[in-house]
Amino acid sequence: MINFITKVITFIGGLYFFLEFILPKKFSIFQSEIFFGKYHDQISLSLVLISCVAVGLGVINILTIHGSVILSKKSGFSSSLVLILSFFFSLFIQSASWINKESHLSSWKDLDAISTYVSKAPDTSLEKLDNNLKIVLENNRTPEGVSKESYLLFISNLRKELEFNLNTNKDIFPTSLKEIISNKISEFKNISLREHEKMLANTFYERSEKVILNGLFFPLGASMFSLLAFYISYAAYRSFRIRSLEAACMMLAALLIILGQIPQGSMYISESLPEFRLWIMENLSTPALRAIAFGSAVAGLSLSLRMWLSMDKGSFN
Amino acid sequence: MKFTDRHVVFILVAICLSVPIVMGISTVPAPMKTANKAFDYIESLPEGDSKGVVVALDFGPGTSAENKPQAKLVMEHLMRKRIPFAVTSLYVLSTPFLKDLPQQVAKDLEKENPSLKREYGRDWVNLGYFQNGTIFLQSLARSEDWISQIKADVNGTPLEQLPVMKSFKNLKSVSSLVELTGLTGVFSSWLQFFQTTEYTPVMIHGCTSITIPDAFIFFSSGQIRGFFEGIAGAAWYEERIKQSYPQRVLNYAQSVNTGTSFAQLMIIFIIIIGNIKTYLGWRKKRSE
Repeated sequence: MINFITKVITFIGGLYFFLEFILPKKFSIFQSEIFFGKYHDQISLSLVLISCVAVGLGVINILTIHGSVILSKKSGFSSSLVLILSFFFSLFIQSASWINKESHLSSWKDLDAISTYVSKAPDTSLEKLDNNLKIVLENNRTPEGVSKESYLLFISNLRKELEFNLNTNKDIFPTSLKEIISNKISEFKNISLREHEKMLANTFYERSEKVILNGLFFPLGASMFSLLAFYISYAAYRSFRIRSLEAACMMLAALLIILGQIPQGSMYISESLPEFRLWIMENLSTPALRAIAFGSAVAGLSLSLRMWLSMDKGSFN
Repeated sequence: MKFTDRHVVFILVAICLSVPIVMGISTVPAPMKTANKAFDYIESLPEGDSKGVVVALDFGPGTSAENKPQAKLVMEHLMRKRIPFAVTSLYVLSTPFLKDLPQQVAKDLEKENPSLKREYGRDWVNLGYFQNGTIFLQSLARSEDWISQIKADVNGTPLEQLPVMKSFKNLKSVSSLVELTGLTGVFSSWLQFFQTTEYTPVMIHGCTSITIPDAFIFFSSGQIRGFFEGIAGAAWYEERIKQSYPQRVLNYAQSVNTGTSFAQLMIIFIIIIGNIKTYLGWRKKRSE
């Protein structure tokens, strides 16, 4: 039964995304208008949910496999221990840092709401803005990163400016007034946030996050990839032997491509080398690669069809 | 420890790569038609264009040696021409680059000339990382109002508060897309789905050296206007920027390109040595 339900859901899902891609936004059948894909964004969110489930599955998988290695003290248990500890440590640091940032941002909600109100409010309701600013003052919630005095001063100045423009400066165009107020709020927020970010960067969680990401993760990732340069060079030295005509052709093409793209080729050998390289890329390499791409696209299509129609034996049997 | 051929090759590669980078040696790169096309297109955009450019940084630390200079050069060019841009990504590992690279370029430009001061929110916006690439791109391309769809920037600031968002109302308000990645899957997602039947923004691509042949397929078909062929393409783009802005003092790609060019020459040299060695061994065996 579960197999059957899974197959049906897979088929309906595939059919929906296929139709959504090929059908126009609006079309009519039997004199009734159909908006296919009206709820596409909401449906697409289901994929985000599936990704979240996949994260949970990954965590359970890591804990089960490496946890059992640690508990039974199998060979390589020290590596598993390092992995689990690093996982929990970085999870803790990143979460704490994220909570820190979020709590900081949420303290700016009042001012953000005012700014959103200003940009969306109809021109006639600008008088209400003053009331909103009064509520902000009464709420008495000072955002993080700014002193209470300067915040209150800023809000009262904003009110004064608004009152002045609405009562005295009657000629001002409402959209210009909106822009003035919006700019003032965003300028105040930008300056305060910049200062506060500097302060936040010195907290323990932020510094630890920086060490994990900029000090460990990124250099290690780059080092892993850069090792390729060494291994490829050695592999070329060991195995690139001109033993046949094909190998000679390949060597010649490689030589021309390399010399055509490095500065020394056009500087010391011939200025037309880059042109020659381009000719090889456009007229020899591209058609061959395009043929391969077509082949793999057709193969991909047949694979997708098999998955969509649940014809792959391995999936459910 | 026995000193073998492998050690010699590794040491030679390390020296060839590191000396030009550490010493800041740079040579004039080989001209690249693909980078020329990319440069000419961005140069042709009007100064202070009202249409925005989306810069997708879909790379992590693995390919940052090639993609990072490309990203910096495009941002520099856009900032010099005061063209508003939005940075975003479909690749989670690129999130620190989204924040740091534009800031770094803005800082460098301001250092070069204080009148070139560029600010977050007015000249560029960081839309952050988006999950579910293909699906997200489809809905973004169709959306009539990006501000209400994306809602906030990476700092949580509502997008309507940022003046730069005037240039990013929807797909039609975007003149071009600059997509920098070493991942061909992500590249094809942007290529296929960041368009509608009525409008397709001009696409500029930055790839790694390994994916150059793949990018040529779309360049010759006209789907991408121009592209950076790895670090060599970035170096030539930098040369073009230098020619257009002679007061420029920055060096983002040319030292690295010089380093890799020496390493490539060294590879040719060791292949020749390897073949000579094999030939001598074969002759010795035959004479015995």
